[in-house]
Amino acid sequence: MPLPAINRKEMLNSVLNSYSQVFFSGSKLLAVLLIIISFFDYGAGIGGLLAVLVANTLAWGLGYNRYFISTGLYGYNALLVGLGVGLFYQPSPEVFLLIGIAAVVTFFITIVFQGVLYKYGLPFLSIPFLFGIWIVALSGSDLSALNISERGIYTYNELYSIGGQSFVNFYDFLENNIRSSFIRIYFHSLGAIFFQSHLLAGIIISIGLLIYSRITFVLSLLGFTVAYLFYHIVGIEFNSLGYTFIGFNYILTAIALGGYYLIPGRVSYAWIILMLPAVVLVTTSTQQIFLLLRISAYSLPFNIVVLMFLYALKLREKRPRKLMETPVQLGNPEKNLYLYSGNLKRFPAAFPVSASLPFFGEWTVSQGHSGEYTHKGQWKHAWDFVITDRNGQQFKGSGDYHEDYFCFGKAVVAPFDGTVVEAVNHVEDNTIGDVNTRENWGNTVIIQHNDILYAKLSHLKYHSLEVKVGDQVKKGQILGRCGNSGRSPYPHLHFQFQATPYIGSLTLDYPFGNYLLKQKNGFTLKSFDFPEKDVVVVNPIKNETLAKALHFIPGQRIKVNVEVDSAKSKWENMTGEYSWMVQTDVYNNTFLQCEKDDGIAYLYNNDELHYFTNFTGTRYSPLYWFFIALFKVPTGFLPNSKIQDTIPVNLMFSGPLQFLQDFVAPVYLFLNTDYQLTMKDAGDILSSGDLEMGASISKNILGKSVRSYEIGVRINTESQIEINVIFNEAKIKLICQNELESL
Amino acid sequence: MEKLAYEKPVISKITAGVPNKFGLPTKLKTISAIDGIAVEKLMQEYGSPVFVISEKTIRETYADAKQAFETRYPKVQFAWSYKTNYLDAVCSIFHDEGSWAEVVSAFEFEKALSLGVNGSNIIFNGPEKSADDLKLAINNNACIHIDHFDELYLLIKVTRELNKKARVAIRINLDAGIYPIWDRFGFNYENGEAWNAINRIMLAENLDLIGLHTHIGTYIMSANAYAIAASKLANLYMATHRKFDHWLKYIDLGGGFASKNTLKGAYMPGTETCPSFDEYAEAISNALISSEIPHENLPVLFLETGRALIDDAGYLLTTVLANKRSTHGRRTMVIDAGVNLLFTSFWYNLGIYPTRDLSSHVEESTIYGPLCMNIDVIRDAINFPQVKTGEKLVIERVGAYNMTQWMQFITFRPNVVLIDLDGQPHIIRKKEELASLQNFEQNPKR
Repeated sequence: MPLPAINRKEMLNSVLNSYSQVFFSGSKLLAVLLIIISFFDYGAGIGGLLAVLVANTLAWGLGYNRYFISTGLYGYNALLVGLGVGLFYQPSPEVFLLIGIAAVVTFFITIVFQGVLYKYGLPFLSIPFLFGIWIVALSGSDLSALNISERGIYTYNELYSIGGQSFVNFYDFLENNIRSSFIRIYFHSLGAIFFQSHLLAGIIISIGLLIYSRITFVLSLLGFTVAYLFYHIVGIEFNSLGYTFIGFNYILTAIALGGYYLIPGRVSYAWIILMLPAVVLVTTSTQQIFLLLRISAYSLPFNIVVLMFLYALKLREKRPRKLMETPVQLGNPEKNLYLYSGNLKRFPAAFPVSASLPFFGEWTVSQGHSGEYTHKGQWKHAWDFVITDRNGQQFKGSGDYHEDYFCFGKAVVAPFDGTVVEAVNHVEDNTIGDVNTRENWGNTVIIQHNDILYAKLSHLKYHSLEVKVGDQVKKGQILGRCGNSGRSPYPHLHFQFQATPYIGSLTLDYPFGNYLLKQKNGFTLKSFDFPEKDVVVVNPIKNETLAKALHFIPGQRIKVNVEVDSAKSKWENMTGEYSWMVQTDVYNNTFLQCEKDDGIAYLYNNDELHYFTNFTGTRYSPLYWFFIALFKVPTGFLPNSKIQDTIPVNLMFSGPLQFLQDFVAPVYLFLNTDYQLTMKDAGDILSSGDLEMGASISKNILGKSVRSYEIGVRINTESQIEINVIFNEAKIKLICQNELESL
Repeated sequence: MEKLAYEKPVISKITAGVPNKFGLPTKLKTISAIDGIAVEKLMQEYGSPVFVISEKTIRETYADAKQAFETRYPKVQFAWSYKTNYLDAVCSIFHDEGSWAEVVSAFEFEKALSLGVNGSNIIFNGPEKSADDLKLAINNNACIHIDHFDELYLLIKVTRELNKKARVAIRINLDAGIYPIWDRFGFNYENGEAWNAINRIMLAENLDLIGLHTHIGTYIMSANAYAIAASKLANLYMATHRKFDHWLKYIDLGGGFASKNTLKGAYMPGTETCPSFDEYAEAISNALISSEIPHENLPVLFLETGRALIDDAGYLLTTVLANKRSTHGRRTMVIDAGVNLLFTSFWYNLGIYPTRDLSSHVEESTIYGPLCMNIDVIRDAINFPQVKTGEKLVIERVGAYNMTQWMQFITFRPNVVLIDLDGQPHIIRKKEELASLQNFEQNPKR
């Protein structure tokens, strides 16, 4: 089989990312800074680069995943081994041979750990590096052809050879003016991640971190400070951190847990404060063991603690509200946070089952979660539904008979695909007002949706079940009829989610997928929400025109015609013809890519809802405005219904304001962007008319609107999408048409 | 003490003691006000006779019907049957509630368009559609319900001429287990004609078959007949999918739901015997849902209910003109509203009520209209108390068909008044006058 063609860009990316990946980053700038630092010691620099090249070449040659390669995941462990070995020995052909071999070994260790840990959804961190460097270090005494480096002893000589007298003076200036041991050791520890022992390396890395991510920078300081304080409180000698490769464990742990693998926030910060003393203890104890072997523990404490913590979090049973694992890793804590803070519900991974309401038409919630009658204690996450007329009455006539109640005998349907695991059909309906506490739940169907999610529908009508245990049911299929059996004084439908398949199981705090909430002047679409008492809810009816227009099929090309009316040339220049391509990547992410300006808009479509998850590229791209206009569009949408969301901060703001926001983002967002889409004309029930929607976008600072955009969207039955954006600087008109449709 | 009204002596059978099959002495219902406005006041202002329509009743009845179906079936759409009552104000209320328009002529089609109904939300029914009518429908993207093969051929010709696609459905007649079987409209189900029509349409280039339609009859007192009709259409729906891999979009069960009026010859009153919306909805929804159609492909259910949605909302206010005795000694009464206004009096024993409590002594009477024409009988036989001339009476449940099938015969047609949701009356059709009629006439010069 021929080797996959490597393009230059991917190759460059794979090298650069191998450097920045050490700090969990994909930042090119940080990578360049790190490469410069590594070459402060040319032996280490060459060793590191050599190891990266060896590892990445192996990965290409053996045909590993291109995405992993170009993001540097296969390179960074080898890099660290190369740096370490290169620094330890005097540069010589033998040393570079050794580094090459070590890189090969490290690469395979990487593959093995990836294979093992990915099954548990865990990263392999720098474990491969640890094994690689230990292998070399433990065999060190037998490698007699290699000479231990003398560098690091005559620092000034080396600095002079790199940058002449002025560089030496500059370094001297830093050395003389940074006296605080706290700051010195912080910089030393940062530098030590790249095996550099002088202040300058640490300073450059910290600047790189600040540019790459404010949150990461703050976390590095936080982690270090907590460790520093703990050292002092329990009386561990702190200055030793200045010359051992140990202090960075605290920094890396804080970065990894505080903001990268978890969504940064108050709680993740608080956990960093709690966890860091534990890392200190793990560090001091492992150090004692590794002293016996005469090698360093390096980043072992960091690896142990991070993996333990992440694994433990994964085993939580209750739907976590705090300390969320990053749902979509964007490689930058700010972006992760902004995307997440927009709306957790945007992520399908958070709610694998999108349950619809288990009935036809408009029903009223007569008792919601934590209701006043029976939804209490461990059964509090449940709903009771009834049908009411326009006067709020549940029955006509006297209400003394089942048939008087509007809901009695109405179809009850499956909320989602699943298997029937329980079906009780024999409990007689109570006389109105009476209850049957012996067969409490009455006639009941329980459906298993996945391993830990079951839906229970109770108080069904006597002998009305149309399913039996073992039946596979589809969403919307009739299960039985609403009745009055069990502990039910008047006819109603009891609905709850639960984690176990039994009648009487405790309830689970899980939401309905997409439903319409009836309001005075129309409906609001709610996603993954909990209808409250007395609200009227109804399932949306899918609009075929909308569903078709927003169904982007990989390989499809969309032709776009852009007209701009603006006094400013930056907007005016957008005028012209564009072509967008629909593509999917290895993770099944679908995205639109502009072939002209390379903008990429990631989207998700679960048949009920289309939404854009992220955008990369310039804001002067028509695709950006397409992304903003159609940020979130449900396919089942009635006239006058609305949907609201917020667009991630980083996609609407930029510059110093966002820079400032980044620092405090985990604690407080003072910037935000509201998105509201209103369906003005929804065609009709046969989806035969054109659709007209209006999107209003408002950029707010401290809750005050500073700029607004009005966007009109028209979609016709031929799936042509017309978008008109109006704001103070420009009027932009996009006409988008599927290439095949326009032929 | 007020002076008692003089009543002519009447000899009638004693009904005291054990109630016989005629029940206890009659206590006649009275209708003194409509939506809070006194009948007396309405007649003072708008004359006699006068039609009064209650917007509140229309909207409430519509909400009942909608809820009955929507809580039983996932996708329901009502289409307002124009011929039942096509006064602009009435149609507008139904459109405001979300109804489509169901029309059976170019006149009704244009009326719907003039009310702002989107052409694609008009269902064009009926056996009479000229080439021009079809062009109008195609250009407006309406749903054309084909009635017979000749119409189909004409439609194919017209679409070729226009080089446009037409959205079509077929009207199907079938045996729903009731009598009479309406086989004069549409293609027959049982003899395969309907299936034949579907095949021809599916193969026609410019026709997009989107639905199946039936209308089993009028004033159907058995909800089960609809269930039979629905399952027969469901069979065709599935057969079309199997053969052509094409999911039709809707099944239209037409109209025919009974109102609460009492048919002539019925033993029990209509209020007791006619099925409710719930019963019709239960029968139809169950039939469709339990058919072979997979639930995710269930068609939209269209209903062209007319009478049952509007009958209750209409009243005719009238005045007693004279009391008479026939040669047989039977009491008769002449009122100022005749069959020229009350076409439905040929079908129903209309409910006629006084506006105030009158004597409990009733006598079988005949009520005549004012026309100088022997057929003008509003009620053959009704137990009614003695009333004086000038007494105001209310005829209820006259919202359907009367305001479309009325005749300009002998006299003018009266005001039609709508009482809106705020209880305010509005004239929605003015009383005719000489000029309005002579307008159309041309008198050749001699």
